[in-house]
Amino acid sequence: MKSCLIIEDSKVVRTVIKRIVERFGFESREAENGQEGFDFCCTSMPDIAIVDQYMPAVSGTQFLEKLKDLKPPRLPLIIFCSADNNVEHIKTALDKGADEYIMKPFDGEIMRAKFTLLGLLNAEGKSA
Amino acid sequence: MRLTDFDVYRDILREKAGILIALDKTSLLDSRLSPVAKRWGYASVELMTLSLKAVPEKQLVEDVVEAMSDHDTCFFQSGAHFNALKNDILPYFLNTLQPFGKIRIWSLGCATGQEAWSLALLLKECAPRLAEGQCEILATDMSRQMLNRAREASYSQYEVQRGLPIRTILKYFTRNGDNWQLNGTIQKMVRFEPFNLLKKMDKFGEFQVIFCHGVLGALDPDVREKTLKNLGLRLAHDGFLFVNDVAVVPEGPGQLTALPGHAGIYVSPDSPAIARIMKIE
Repeated sequence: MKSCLIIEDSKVVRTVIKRIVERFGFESREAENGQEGFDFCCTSMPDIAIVDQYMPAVSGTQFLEKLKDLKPPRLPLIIFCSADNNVEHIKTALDKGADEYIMKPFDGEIMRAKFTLLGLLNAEGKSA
Repeated sequence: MRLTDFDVYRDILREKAGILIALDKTSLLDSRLSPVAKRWGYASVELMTLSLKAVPEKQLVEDVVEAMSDHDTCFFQSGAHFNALKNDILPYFLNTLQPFGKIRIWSLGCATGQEAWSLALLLKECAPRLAEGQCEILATDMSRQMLNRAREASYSQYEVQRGLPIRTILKYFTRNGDNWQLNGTIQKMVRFEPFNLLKKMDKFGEFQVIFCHGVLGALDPDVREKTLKNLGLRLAHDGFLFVNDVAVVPEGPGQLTALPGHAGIYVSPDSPAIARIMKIE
């Protein structure tokens, strides 16, 4: 089963994302901030991480930088998911290594579309 | 809704749009027609029905057909078909088109336009030579209201995120308040026209690619068969017909044959493209 790490400080949003990705057939783990997410990655690298930008301690972009410095053999796919929909900020997240970006608010259909774009779901919506 | 009232709408839809609605869709009828009744100043759907029976005013009939048609669509819907276009079919035309030849594409039942724009974006990204004047994209729908929305090419944050990669959004759209506006270079690539598939389609000429997605499923079987036959006639000798509701397509639709290995793509049995794409040559 593929694994998805949800790095997000809002418990409500974490729960929403968790329900969506579990419906896609992914095992999910949750982290409240970038540091906790980074610690998770040090023990076991997920297949995909859904990352918020603004979090206490370590932000989304800082998490991406730390992850790169770790030089792991395999980086997870990264979907940034933020209410910050400023075009410049989106570009920054992409430059720092995000593979996709979801502008909040979002729904299950958008999450499904992004997972499909990244090749994590096939055309039938099953875990690929 | 009373059964006699249901008959009124069933007849209108069949006659005006070739659409068949089942009796179990009565609740859908009510929920979709209530806003129309309200807009026309009727206190209820029942009163609107009485009025329609007495005087079927053209504009009201159009509004009813529009409300009952499905418009739900997103960018790059039917991903497998866009992949086939990108990986096999566009390369085929890039190789075979004459220097002044054109690839003509038709998006039938385009609703709010996402399919037509997806086709334009795919050409721009994957076959820029064709996009620069060697392609023509026609998008049609019977609803003028839908065509207006499609032409505007302005989509909500929800709509752009359903199917478009973020990099495509940033490259080809400009933020405009709460919406995202498609850039003019892509907008120029598509021509929108009203068209009802019960009418003659000869005037549009021949196409190398026809996308007929989400149209056939709702049709009356007789209308569907005629439509497929007519679409077959609109297809160039080496053209491709894309259909996503394959379950309703008879074998050999309109004298066409299925392209092996590609669900829902049909070609002429003696199309020179088959051998090229199957790499038999």
